Amino acid sequence: MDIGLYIHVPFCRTRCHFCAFYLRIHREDQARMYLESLAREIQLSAALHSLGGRRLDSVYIGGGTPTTLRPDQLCSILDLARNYLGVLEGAEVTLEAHPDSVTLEGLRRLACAGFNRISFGVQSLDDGELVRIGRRTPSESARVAVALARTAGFVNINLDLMYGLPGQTPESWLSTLEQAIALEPTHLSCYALTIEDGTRLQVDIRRGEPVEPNAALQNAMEDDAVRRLAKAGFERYEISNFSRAGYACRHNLHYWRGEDYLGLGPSAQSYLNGCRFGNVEDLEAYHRALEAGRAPVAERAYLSPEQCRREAVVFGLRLIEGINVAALRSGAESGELLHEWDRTLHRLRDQGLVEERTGWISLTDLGRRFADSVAVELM
Amino acid sequence: MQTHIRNFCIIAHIDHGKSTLADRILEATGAITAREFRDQILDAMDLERERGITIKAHTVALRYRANDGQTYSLHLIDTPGHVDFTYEVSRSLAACEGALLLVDASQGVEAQTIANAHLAVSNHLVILPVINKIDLPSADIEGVKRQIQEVLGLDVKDALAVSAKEGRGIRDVLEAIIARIPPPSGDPAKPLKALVFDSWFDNYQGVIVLTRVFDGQIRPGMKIRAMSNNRVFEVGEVGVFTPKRMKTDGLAAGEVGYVCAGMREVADTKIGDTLTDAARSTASPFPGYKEVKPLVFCGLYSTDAAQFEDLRDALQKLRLNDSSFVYEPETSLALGFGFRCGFLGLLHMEIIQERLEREYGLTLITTAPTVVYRILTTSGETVHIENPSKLPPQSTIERFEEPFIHATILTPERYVGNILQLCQERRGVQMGLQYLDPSRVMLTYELPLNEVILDFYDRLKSKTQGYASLDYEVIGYRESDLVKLDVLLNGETVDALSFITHRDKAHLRGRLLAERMKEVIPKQMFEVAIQAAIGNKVIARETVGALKKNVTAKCYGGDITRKRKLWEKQKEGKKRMKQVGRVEVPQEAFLALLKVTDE
Repeated sequence: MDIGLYIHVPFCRTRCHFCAFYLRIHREDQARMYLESLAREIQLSAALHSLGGRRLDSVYIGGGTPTTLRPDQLCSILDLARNYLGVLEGAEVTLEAHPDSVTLEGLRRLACAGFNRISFGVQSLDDGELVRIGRRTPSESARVAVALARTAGFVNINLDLMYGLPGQTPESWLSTLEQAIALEPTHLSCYALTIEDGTRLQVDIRRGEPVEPNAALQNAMEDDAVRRLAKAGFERYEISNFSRAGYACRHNLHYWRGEDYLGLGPSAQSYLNGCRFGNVEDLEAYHRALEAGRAPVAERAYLSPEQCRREAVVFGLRLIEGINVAALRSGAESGELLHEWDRTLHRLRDQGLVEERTGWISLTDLGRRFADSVAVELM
Repeated sequence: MQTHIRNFCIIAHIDHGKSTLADRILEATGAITAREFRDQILDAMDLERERGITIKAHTVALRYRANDGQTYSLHLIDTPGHVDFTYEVSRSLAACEGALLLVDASQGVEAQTIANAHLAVSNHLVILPVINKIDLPSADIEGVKRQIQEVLGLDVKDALAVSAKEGRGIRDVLEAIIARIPPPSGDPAKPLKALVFDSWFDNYQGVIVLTRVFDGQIRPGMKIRAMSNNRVFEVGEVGVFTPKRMKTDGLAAGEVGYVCAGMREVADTKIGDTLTDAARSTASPFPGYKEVKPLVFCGLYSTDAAQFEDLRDALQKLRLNDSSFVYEPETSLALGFGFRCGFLGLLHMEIIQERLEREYGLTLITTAPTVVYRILTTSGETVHIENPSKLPPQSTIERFEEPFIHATILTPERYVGNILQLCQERRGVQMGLQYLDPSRVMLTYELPLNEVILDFYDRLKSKTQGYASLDYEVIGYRESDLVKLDVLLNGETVDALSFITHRDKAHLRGRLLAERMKEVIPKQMFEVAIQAAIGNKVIARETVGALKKNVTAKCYGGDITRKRKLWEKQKEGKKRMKQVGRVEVPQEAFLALLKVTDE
């Protein structure tokens, strides 16, 4: 099985109010330092990790906002990955982008260099909603960015949208959906707004304004999205992800299918040969480690085969297709564990949370709403 | 030579420094060097060490060269220091001729000081008042002497003042023991008469019995008889603790030591029992052991049904060492298979629960404690109820009785108002209010025990900033207007949550319990209705709203480790939950009753 490569670019122009990712406000000198370290990490990874002859069938440059870096810098990252880690012909190569940080010329250059999928963090197409989450650019820039990307040669285009935003109504959400569909993306990610620890939004909510997202309202908005996007020809293939036929994100499928991936850059996480490890969440520490020739790994956990199996199940259930029963049963450590599992699954079925069809187990609509509760049961 | 033996104990209120004084005595007599010293050597079990309470009595034989140039054999008999273990204390006292009554120089006389002093007086012991912690700036030696004289009626002319912490006055204490505590006066030629005052189970030796020989002698190879059950045992080994175990040729009249006689369980001989020569019985056995009756009961269930057998094994093992707690299997609709366990009191209960979890690695669900109710049925039968859910129908109850206690509370004067209010709320009847000095008051109350086991002690402590002390004894059963209160979750009665309360308190407690349950039951995928009911009549209702969703919106490579850890932690938390019907109920809910008396 081939593996995925994730590269974290820890820079943004501003921090949005809901965001808890590791990032810095972009500075040219720090970006240079980052690129220097990243180059070292790519070379070090090639030497360190036994990829066992496997090559990369997906590359995903995310963040932060990768497009705070210049196109030539982004292209050099991809070149390094090609040279040292080996990227398969026809691999999916995704770039996350902020609608406001792209130019036609830059996009052309990126497409030429081999980036073949672009993911725009749009969030909303309502100007008022954008302002309330700390975005200074108007919704118009998203429309412009998508048009530029298409002109530059990008076919596979994703838009990230959020529902349950401060001040958002079912009507404005539907309007955002309509406008997004009109932009003809191949892929849409629709996320329920989640209040993360340490975010500006969390602080504001504690102070009383805005109010916390209403779970019932978010559920209704989710239903609207599922309905509307199905009508527009999008298939829901994961809890928060919708695509046109053939455009499911290959890179993200690695995560949900329990497959291996390598993560580079500060705070990036990896899963290789049953070991989960994560890089340090600090640009300077990241730089120092690599300068000294050490891997910038802060945390490492070796999973038992049983743990690997359980993870594969709970993350696999996020996919609409679910998980293959035969695969689930093979690799169980003991008959007793399997028996316990069967009982748990039976109970979840009785509760209407999971269903089994032609050898596949998946979540029901209700189960998707309580996917984390199901995960706790199956962990 | 009996003239060179002194048998004594130290009695004190908790935290007045008993263990520290014992340590200093051990040091001063060279029984133990500072290097060997583990702080407070007599409290062997970790739990005792942590809680600062002596649960099981121990005894140490010491050799002391006195100022008169002679060497004396001292036996220090340690006593449990808590109200739950009064009977054990009284038997330890019966093994002594004298007692050091230890009083904190800054705290003064407390409730257990009085209770223990009374026990010592009724056992005809010579009491030496010792005032401890004189190093404290707040020490008031004269004031404390006055209290001892006025409250306890003891002569304080020769009271000793010490600082066990600093080792001051220890030698004076030892000299006073020699001079003022009489030597034992038994007859070594008479048939064996020995008092059992403690026993425990040892994995290699079987039961080890601590005994005081009053008449005759006890030697290895001898056949002895436990007079409570007439069982005969052959003595394998006798000896003393120095505090290390040391074999001796025998124990003669006046001596204190241990005996191993092939007993397999602690219940083979009870505390208070008389051991005698199997061939030649003593004519005057001790009044006989008292069967200590458990006062407080609760249900113990393993959260994991698969652990039921482990729980049974653990209870069995604990009982080897502690015959005062009882257990028998019971079944709860809500909790499955478990045990109804009886304890001497709340502390005893907590200790056993903690040992089960800590030493045996069990995860337990505990139901709220209950007292034993006595019921006269319309058919003339007397029934004891240790589990509220087993109460017969109200229509068949002729007379409903509950145990009452006589409580002694000592408090600084400024908290009297708070205490009166608390006792009033708990259906107490005041029997006395006495000023020990202008700033300290002794209150005596008669209270229903069921009001006391519901958080009374903690409430008392919090209403007096920790200053009040409490001691009590059970005085018997009285008729009360009691009702059973049931709790229903989504319409199903949860038997493990039923409790018995006075009719006047039922509505308030039902309402508070429902409110409290609402706080502890987490939101589930459906609404949970909590009802409190007497019979068919619902008296309180609360609703836990349904959880609308529980799903991570973004779940990619960077989130997986974090999510896995979170879910594994939640899974651990769920192990502590019990499924009642479809509702998941956390352990705290079964103890919610303890937290509903806060008004």
